[in-house]
Amino acid sequence: MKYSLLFSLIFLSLNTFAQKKLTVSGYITDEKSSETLIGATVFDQNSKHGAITNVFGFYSLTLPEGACSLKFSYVGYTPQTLEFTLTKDTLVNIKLSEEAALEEIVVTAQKDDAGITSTKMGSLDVPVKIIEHTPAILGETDVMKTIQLMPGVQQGTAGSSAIYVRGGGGDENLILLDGAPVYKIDHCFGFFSVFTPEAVKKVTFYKSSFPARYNGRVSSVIDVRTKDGDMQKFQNSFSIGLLSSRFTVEGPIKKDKTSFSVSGRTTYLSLLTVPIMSIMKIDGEKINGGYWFYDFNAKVNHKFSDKDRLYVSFYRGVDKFWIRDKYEWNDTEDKSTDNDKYFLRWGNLISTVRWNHVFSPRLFSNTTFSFNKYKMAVGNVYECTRKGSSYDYNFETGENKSVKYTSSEYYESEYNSSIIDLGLSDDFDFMPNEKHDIKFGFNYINHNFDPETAHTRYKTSYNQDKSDTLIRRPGAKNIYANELSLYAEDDWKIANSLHLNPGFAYTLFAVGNKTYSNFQPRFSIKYSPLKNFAVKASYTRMSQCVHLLSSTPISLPTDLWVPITENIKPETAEQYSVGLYYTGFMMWEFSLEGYYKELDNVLEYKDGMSFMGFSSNWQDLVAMGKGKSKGLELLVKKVAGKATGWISYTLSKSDRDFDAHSGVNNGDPFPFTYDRRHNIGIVYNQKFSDRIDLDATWTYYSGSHATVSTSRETVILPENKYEFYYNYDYQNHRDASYYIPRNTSRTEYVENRNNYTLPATHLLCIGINIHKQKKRCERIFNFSVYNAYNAKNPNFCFSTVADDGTGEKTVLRKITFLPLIPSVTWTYKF
Amino acid sequence: MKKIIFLLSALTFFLSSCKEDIELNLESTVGVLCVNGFLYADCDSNVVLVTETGTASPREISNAGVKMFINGTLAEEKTSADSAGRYILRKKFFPGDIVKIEVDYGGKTAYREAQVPEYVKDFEAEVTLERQKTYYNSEWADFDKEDMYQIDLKFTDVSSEKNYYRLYLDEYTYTVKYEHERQRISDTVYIDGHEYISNRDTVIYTQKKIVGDHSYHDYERTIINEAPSLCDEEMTTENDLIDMSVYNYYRVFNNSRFAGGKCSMRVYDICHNVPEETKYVRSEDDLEYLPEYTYIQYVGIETIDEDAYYFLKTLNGFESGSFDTQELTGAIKMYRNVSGGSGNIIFAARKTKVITVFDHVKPTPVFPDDDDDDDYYYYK
Repeated sequence: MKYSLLFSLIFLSLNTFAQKKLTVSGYITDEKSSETLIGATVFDQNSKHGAITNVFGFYSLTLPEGACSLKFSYVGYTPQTLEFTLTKDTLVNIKLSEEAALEEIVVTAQKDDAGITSTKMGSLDVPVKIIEHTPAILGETDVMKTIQLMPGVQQGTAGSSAIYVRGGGGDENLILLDGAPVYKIDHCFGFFSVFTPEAVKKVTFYKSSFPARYNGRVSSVIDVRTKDGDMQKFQNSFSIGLLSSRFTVEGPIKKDKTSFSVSGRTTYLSLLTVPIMSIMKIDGEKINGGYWFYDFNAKVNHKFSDKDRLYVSFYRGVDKFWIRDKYEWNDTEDKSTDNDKYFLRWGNLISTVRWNHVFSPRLFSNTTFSFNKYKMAVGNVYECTRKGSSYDYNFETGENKSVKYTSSEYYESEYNSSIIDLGLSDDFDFMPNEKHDIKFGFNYINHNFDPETAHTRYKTSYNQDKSDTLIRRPGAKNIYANELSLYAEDDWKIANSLHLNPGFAYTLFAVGNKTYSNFQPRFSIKYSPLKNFAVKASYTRMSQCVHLLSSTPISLPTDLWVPITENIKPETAEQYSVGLYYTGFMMWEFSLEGYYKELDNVLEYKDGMSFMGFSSNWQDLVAMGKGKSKGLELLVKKVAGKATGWISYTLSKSDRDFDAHSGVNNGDPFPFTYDRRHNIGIVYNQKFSDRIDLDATWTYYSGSHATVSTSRETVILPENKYEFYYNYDYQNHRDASYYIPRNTSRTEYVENRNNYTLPATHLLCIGINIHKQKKRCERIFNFSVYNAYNAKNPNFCFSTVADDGTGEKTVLRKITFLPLIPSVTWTYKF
Repeated sequence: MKKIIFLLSALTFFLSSCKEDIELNLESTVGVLCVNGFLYADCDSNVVLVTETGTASPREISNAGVKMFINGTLAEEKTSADSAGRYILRKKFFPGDIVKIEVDYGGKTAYREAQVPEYVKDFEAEVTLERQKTYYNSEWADFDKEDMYQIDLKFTDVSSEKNYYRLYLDEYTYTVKYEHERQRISDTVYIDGHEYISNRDTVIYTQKKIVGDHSYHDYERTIINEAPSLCDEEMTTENDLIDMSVYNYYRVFNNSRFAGGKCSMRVYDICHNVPEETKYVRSEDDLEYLPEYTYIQYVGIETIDEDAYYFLKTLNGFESGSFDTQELTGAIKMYRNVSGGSGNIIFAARKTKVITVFDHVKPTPVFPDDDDDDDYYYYK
């Protein structure tokens, strides 16, 4: 009822304007590259009305007929003012240039007064400059590592790019690349994300007050937009770092009409891992192996007219890890060679085609067709050849005859899991007047989950056996699911000081014979009693219909996405937020946000259950429960000047609660793994001169929680087990091995889940950039140090028995992966 | 796959800057009362084990007070364990009874109260020998062939509610063998067991085959590609081509595929002591030394509750090595159902069939032809 009243009010307000209104619309682009600027502002200084460009750089501002004075601005760019008399709907495409006077601004956290102008809260723009100026492991600047420095965001295990937002799980973040969801977002088992910074134009991060067009995950949205490509001239750059090398090429195919952007990254980590592995042994055998990954982004955009524009983008990223065993045996007559290779290979393929069409100055649409494939494979190839001789006894003649033989065996198996998504969406921006900015549309995704198929080939020369078999894991079959979302929202400027953003999303998720529907209201309000001060509040409901099955804190390719089932309901989250924003103190911005989030149907493995690569009957292994999270987030930013950066502080609490018969923790509440009470993130960027600038980050997280055992208990077995004990009777020269039956066993005793709070994590990273501008190019040397004071942060903790000289005792062993790591990166732009 | 996981762990540990040991406060988790037992309906010898958690190992408690209440009435009480540390409860309970086991020790009380599950209905079982049965074995070969006992079971679900079961298999093998080398007859009896497991049909002195070659897996198999099980999960995970499989060692399943209806199941047990069909003998004198085989298969379906189901699944995970990398996964909290302490008291109702597959069977003697090499055939 309350929603229908609200929407009635909105539609009434649409018709209450008798004065003639005209619309100014167009694109705001970078003067040099013609790259569209996302989030640039247009402000009419006469009527005091404004608008912001959407993700395609399009704006629409409806104003009263007559004189107008439009100011176009974007942070780091020279504002432009355009004065004219508005007599008809007018198209104004504006090109802004980077302002020389502002060059001293090394980075800017986001556009000025963003917290004040937008009705939304809990959202942050992360420009590429910020990403590039965040020091990271081995110089690999990373979108996700930058987001981890924002308030309300928890890092996974130290050094990983996983994020946990406001008490949500790691699979509750919707990560979009040019509008298509990305299932596997990291390389190197979670330490680097798949986003090549050079390919990225802008990243927007939402943790509450989600725009209605985003659906499918309950905790956060990370919208990554890639560069369109320079419409004017060719720009190239390449970087060489310790871990990887990257390149970017962009330029016009036809000036001001068509452009392209291609970027790639590949690693030479194998060069490092091969020698390390060569000195490692498993079961006494030497092994060798390696690891590599690559990312490739390509995008073409074509401007048919001021009304139509087409974008085609493509991403391919692959990781491969392999181990090889080789065994050779030679003697005078016999020769044997065994080759055994294991591999893990995984990767995303994402392609989107987007068509922008301006129906009228007030109605903009974007149609997206997306194809998304994630595939994981685990395989084994075994080859052996034997050459030698054997004796053939002839019973008739009594002769023992030597016979030469050659034999070979070949075995190959591959286990695959994949997801294929086909998506179609249409998003409309409708700006009927200066008071309303209405967004509506739909999003349809056809999911095809193909979990756990295996393919084997087997050939042997012994008996000519040959097989070529496709085996599907019992119970595992293709799962088709259809997801449809309808949404609408309105950014309604009731008065200059009061903005309201009501909206909703309605989703349908059909899987098997079951269809789930979910109505998700979204609501936010902003009140600005003073010019530089705003108070906001929001309510958001989100739902999620896919889950990631994983049993380890590091990201493994065998982690498996599965849709909800007839028994497992969609996870939902309701979040209430309030915030205070102040931007009146020189170049500083302050914000304080508080939230309370309730999660329902959150999944946890039942006690003793675990997913180790197989999804069969996964729904029997998990239980549905509730989660709660609350916190306060403070963000202080300095957005201009020679020294910029921000300080974020989060005070939070997050726990899980399952009923007594769920099989989870005996029904007792327990803290969420990443329930870290205090988090501090400091980002500092200092520009010393045109040549040298310094970036530093320091983070502090209270300890996360781990389940550790502290003693031993007895468990009963339903029947006797027989343990084999090897024994040899030396007197009689015979095997005297025996079995001992047992019907009990000993195991670790764990009182409660997440029963131990790990030590706090703190980390300092420093990077220095030395720029050298030449006539036609720029060279940048980046020297960075990860974990500058070598903090021994815990990556894993487990209890074990140790002897410290005074006797054996149970201790908690803390393992630290990433010590002080210096690195250097050389970048050449031309 | 485990190899890859191990290698990843090893690699990351190699790269790790350090490991550091932190002292743990163990006081709170030492001395927790731990009560365990598989208790069967209509059984006069159920065993309860009482221990306390300890830092290095659990401590057996032989002087705890163990009470069994049946439908709210104290039915039996024990104040000390036998010499083997077992509290043996002789009082029978039956399906549908509410049974409570309460243990007092050192001022602590731990208990478990639950309703005893019902027996399955219309239980039938057959055992036949299948020679050279094809099966999918491991990642190393796509198929293998062995002699197997084919066990066919049929039963009707207890109800249309969610029910949990365990397949009980046990066997008794008795072989009289002629050992040529020592010129004497040896009796090889593969028996063992714990006398306190019993069932309502027949008093069984349970036996478990001891496998001579430890390289073989001593568990039952389902031929998935040929005879799909009707249960919610297969008895083993045969077709997994990476060795991360969780083997269903304890053979638990639920009724999700046959709720309220009939279940038919076919499982195979690899034979390690199959009667020879023929045996070469040198003369009539050798006939008395022909080997003799006896094989009895016990087949049963135990109705268990949800707690027991998940507890046994956890044990499957442990037996399969799924939790070997606890450095990565964190410690595994066992499924437990005892309030006020730890452990599992499981009430089960088992229906059993005893099937004699071979009863003193001897191979058919084959006399070599005159021109055959005696030794060649004899040793064959």
